[in-house]
Amino acid sequence: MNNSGHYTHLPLSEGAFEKIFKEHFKGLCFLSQRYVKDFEIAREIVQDTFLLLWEKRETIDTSKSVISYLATAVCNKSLNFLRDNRKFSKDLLIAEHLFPVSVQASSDMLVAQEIQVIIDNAIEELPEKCRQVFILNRFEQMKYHEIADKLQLSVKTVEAQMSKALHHMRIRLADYIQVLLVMMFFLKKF
Amino acid sequence: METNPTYIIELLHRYFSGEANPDEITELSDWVAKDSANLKEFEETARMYQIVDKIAIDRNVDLNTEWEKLQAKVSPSQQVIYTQKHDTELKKLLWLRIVLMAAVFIFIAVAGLFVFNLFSKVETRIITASGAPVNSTLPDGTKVTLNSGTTLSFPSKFKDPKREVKLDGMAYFEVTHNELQPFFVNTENISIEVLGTSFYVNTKAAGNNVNVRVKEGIVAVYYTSRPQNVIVLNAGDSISVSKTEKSLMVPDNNIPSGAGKIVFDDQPLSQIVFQLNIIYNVHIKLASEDIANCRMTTTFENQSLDAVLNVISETLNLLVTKDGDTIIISGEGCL
Repeated sequence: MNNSGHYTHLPLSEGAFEKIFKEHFKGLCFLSQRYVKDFEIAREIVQDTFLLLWEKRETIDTSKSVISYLATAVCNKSLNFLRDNRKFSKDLLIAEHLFPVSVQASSDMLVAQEIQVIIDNAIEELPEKCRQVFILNRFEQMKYHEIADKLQLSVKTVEAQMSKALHHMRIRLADYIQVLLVMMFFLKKF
Repeated sequence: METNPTYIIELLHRYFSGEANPDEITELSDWVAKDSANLKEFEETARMYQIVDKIAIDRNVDLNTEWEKLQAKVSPSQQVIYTQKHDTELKKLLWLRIVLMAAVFIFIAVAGLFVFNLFSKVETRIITASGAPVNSTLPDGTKVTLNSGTTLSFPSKFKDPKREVKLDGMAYFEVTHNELQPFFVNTENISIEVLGTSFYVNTKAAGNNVNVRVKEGIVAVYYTSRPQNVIVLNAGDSISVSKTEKSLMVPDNNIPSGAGKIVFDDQPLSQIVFQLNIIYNVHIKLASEDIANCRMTTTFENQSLDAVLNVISETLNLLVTKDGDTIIISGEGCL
């Protein structure tokens, strides 16, 4: 929208905004979590980004990709979080294929059904304590010390159980990791 | 700094759980840099966390709750704006009417264009390479090189939600990235889906197979009738899929890097190089067009790439040099 108040393009409608939110919220959370490693932080970053988009909905250029705009904003906020908290390591992010930032490649990911089944089975196979620790950490977003309190364990034990669980999963997925690795699909949703 | 392996493993997990402090992160970074085996360990662990976290997000995030949370943040500020701007609302209304009329006109024009586009005829184009490899550019800017004996058909315009081409033979694609329109290569009953990548496809591979080798980017391969049974390839990966098998299995051996028997029957160097690139998974370039037409008739059996290149350079009196990952063949043209 230029200064005289004329609209040079159609603004983003509420309906379109909601559609974009429902289709890309999860993918963007995943994207942010890959950087910040903490799901709650990732969720906040994505919520803030959508809020920003909402506030800009009348001025944003809808002829360009709104998804790219969102993904770029999420990546930038995520990197800023890391820097502000002194958790930014360029070398490690490079090894994780997260740096330099390439929004197309990392916005979304598809985990094939067969892989999900293998993971679920692997989780079932874990010894009781190990399974609890793993589920609380990865699926219920609890921190190590929170898990330690809840299950009456030491933090060191929690750490050991986590590495045991992931090790078991890697064994189960061994064949797949060699050939197909991470499926970094950017899916078109509309 | 402790180097005991259990400590490092736990450090690794602390990092991916977001529990590592800045010093620990530096420690981990040093460890990863020390050894390529450490890097590999790091990468594989990263992937495991990605897979698990993706599943967790898919299952646990409740979109309706999240949408409500966003609404809660949005509404208060909207009310504030409303009360502040209450006075200027009336003035705005007049402008709004003018603007709305303009918008309606623009909308009709744009809609008209869309309809026009929709109904304009899309033709099917076919390109065939019979003698020498053929380079072409598809309607979306994708570059394709067809080896001899290959046919590719595609529409004059990629209008559908997908970009689809049909391939019979051997080709190399450099697909233009377009996240809204995935690119599909259909070969008989097998589909290859990409988003923006460079890869080789050979639909006439030995053993009644289709071979796919990815140079850059990500490619998904599946039987067209069973799209949920998918194998995804990364850069450097390759797969040989049987045209007759019903189930897509992860193969034990990929396309072997030492090839069995390769026969070149009076073939130009350009074609020979095209095939060597696929068979040995390398990147060989010709330094000039002059030598592209040099021909050779020879058979290689279980030879290493170096042996093959030796024979080529001696037979055709050419020079083979390496520049990083690229192999360059240069020399004077043949008669």
